[in-house]
Parts: sequence; structure tokens; C-alpha cells
Amino acid sequence: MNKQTTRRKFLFGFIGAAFAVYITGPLAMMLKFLWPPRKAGEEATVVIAKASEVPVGSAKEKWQFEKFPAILIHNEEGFRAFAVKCTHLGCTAQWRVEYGGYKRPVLFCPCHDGIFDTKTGKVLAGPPPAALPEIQLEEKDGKIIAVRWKDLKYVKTLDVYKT
Amino acid sequence: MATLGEKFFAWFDERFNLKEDLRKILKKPVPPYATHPMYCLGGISFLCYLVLVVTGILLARYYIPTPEEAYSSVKFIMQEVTFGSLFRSIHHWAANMMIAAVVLHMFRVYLTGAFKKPRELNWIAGVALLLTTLIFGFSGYLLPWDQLSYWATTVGLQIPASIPVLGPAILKIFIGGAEVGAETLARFYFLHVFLLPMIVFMLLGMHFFMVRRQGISEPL
Ligand code: HEM
Ligand code: FES
Repeated sequence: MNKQTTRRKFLFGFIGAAFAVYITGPLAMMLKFLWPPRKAGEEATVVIAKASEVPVGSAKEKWQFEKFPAILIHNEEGFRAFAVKCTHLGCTAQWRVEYGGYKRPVLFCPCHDGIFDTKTGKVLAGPPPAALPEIQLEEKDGKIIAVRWKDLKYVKTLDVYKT
Repeated sequence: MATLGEKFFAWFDERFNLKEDLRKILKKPVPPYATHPMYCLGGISFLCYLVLVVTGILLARYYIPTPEEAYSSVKFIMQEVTFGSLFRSIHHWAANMMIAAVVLHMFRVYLTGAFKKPRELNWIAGVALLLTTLIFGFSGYLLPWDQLSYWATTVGLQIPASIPVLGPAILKIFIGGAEVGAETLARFYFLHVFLLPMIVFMLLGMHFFMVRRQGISEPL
């Protein structure tokens, strides 16, 4: 038998490989579809950080809750977490230790200068129409865990939080 | 050196002696006049059907056919399930495309005179396929159980109900009660995911068998 790779065999292999690549995408999507999604409001467990990593007066950004950017804040009263997708037009609000006339930490949205309070999530200044939604936390084995929206009904009233 | 695929095939061929039969089925040349795009419409209908079967099976994983749950389960598919809106939309558009393709296919067959002897029976199988496709779409339309589908069904059922003599009986069988309600939804769901797929499967078997036996009709 001829052990050489003929042009025909090579091309068939090539087409076969292309087809395999082509079909893997839809198949993966189907598997993903069949995987039951978590129902909204069901308990989540997002391990955010070790409590020791976030000392009083600081915050941890760049994590997500229910696919929304979120922030963990540690102040004198303890830990708090908010989703930081701005209720105005959906930019991501950021932690500022001081900002403008505020000589205390605030959450600042760079898009249209929206300012939120770090203790309540309420709007202090700028165009955002509503407070940032708070996330319920739990502490376990020295780790801070995000478990659910504090007020799911409130989240559902926010346009930029529609999924 | 045999490739993996060839070895795989050889294993079956050794046992079932498939080569000859498969060659006949797969290597049959398509007559040149039948490569015109108009002659692809039947195949396009079939492709639509396959897409509908695959996406329909996926949707059936989340859809719940009861008045309480139907609408919210569709909403769940659209808003929560990963790629849910994608697969539902593909199902939706493939259903529309299938009806268009089937009707155009029928026009092609009519305008090329392909329904004439000896293909009378295949024309009849085709009419049955057209009807089942339409009932497929009609039954699927009720399933989301919103105002649109509820009233479309209420009004649409007046079409078979207007058939002389048999009309009222047909209406009763479809509707399952005094008005469109839980029984209707159950019946339409049964039609949509069980009875019609079986009927279409059998009709397609007959359709394709006849096409193969009789060949594609020659141009006028
Ligand atoms: C074996 C094949 C099929 C299965 C298992 C299947 C299954 C389903 C299921 C579970 C639904 C409910 C989900 C929804 O409303 O989106 C649905 C909806 C629907 N199906 Fe199918 N289906 C099949 C084939 C077809 C065919 C052949 C047609 C039409 C030519 C069709 C037309 C529709 C339509 C119009 C809807 C409503 C779409 C909407 O507005 O939501 N289906 N199907
Ligand atoms: S998007 Fe945040 S202030 Fe406009």
C-alpha cells in the first residue's frame, strides 16, 4: 500500500478539520443552552476576598455579581457591597478616596460626573436617577462572600440592570 | 494506509456489506437540469425542518405546556437561558422560512408540470406535507400563550370550523373544550412535538422514496 499522503487525502483531512471546527461552535452552544441557569434571586456564592485583604478605609473593585461590576467596601461600620453599574447610563462607577469637594470616599461615575455615597449607595450628585443596588454579604472562614441582592425588587426597577 | 474513517467504515462493511447499496444511494448523479436553484427548494424545506427539529428539541427542555407556566417559561428562555433567545429565534425564523420554501417548492413543481403522471401520488404526499407544515406553524404559534397567540388561535380555528358539515366536529377535536384553554394548549403541544413530527417523518420517507424511484422530472 502507498504510505504517501496524496493531495486528495490531504484535502479531505483539511476539509474534515474545517468541518470539525465549524460544528464545534454550535455544539458547545447547545451544551451551554442545556445547562440550567440559576434563577434570579436564588442564592449565589461569589467569594470576593479574604477579610484581611481589605482593611478599613479601602475597597475591592473588579469583581462581578450576577454579571454586573461590583465593589466591596470596608468602613468603620463593617463590610458593604454594591453593584457599580451606574443607574444613569450604565458606566462603571469607581472608588475614590476623595473627590472634588468630598473629603471622604465616594463612588464616582466618570461618564457624567455621577457621585454615589459609599455607605448607602444613594446619589449625592450628578445625573444618576437612583441609588446603586446593595449586595447582601456573608462572612465565612475569614472570607467575604456575596450571596444575593439585598432588594431584588428594587434591582428589577432599574433600567440598566435589565438582563 | 487506511484512514481512521476508512477503517471504521470497513468494520461495518465487513459485517453488513454496505458498499454496494450505499454507492447506489450516495453516488447517484444529479441530472444537470435539476441543479437549477428552483430545484433546491425541496431540499431547503428539508433543511429548515432539520433545524426546527434540533432547535425544537432544545426548546422543549425548558418550555412548560400549562397555562400557568407557558408564558413565563418562554420568558425564561428569552431572558435567562444562555443562548435561549438565539435558539428560540432560530426556531421562529426557520419555521417562517420553511413555510415559504414549501410553498415555493410547490410552485416549482406545478410550473414545471412535475405533478403529472407518473408522479400523481407524490403530489398528494406533498399536499399532505404542506398541510402538516401549516398546522405545525399554527400549533406552535399558540405555545407562548400570550395575547397574540391566544387570539390568533381563537380566530384561526374558525377556518376549519367553517368547513361544511365536518367543521364543528373538527373544531371540537382541536379545541378540546368550550373555548381556547388549558385543554387546547395540551392538545396543540401534543400535536406540535409528537404527532406532527411523526407524520412529517413518515410523509418525508414516502416523498423521498418516490423521488428516488421516479427520478427528477425532465424539463418541459
Ligand atoms: C420536531 C419538530 C419540532 C419541535 C420538537 C418543536 C418544538 C417547539 C416548542 C417546544 C415550542 C415552544 C417554544 C416557543 O414558543 O418558542 C415551539 C414553538 C414554535 N414552533 Fe416548533 N417544533 C418543531 C417543529 C416546528 C415546525 C416544523 C414549525 C413550522 C413550520 C414550527 C413552528 C413553531 C412556531 C411558529 C412556534 C412558535 C414560536 C414563537 O412565537 O414562540 N415548529 N416549537
Ligand atoms: S453613566 Fe454614570 S453618570 Fe452617566
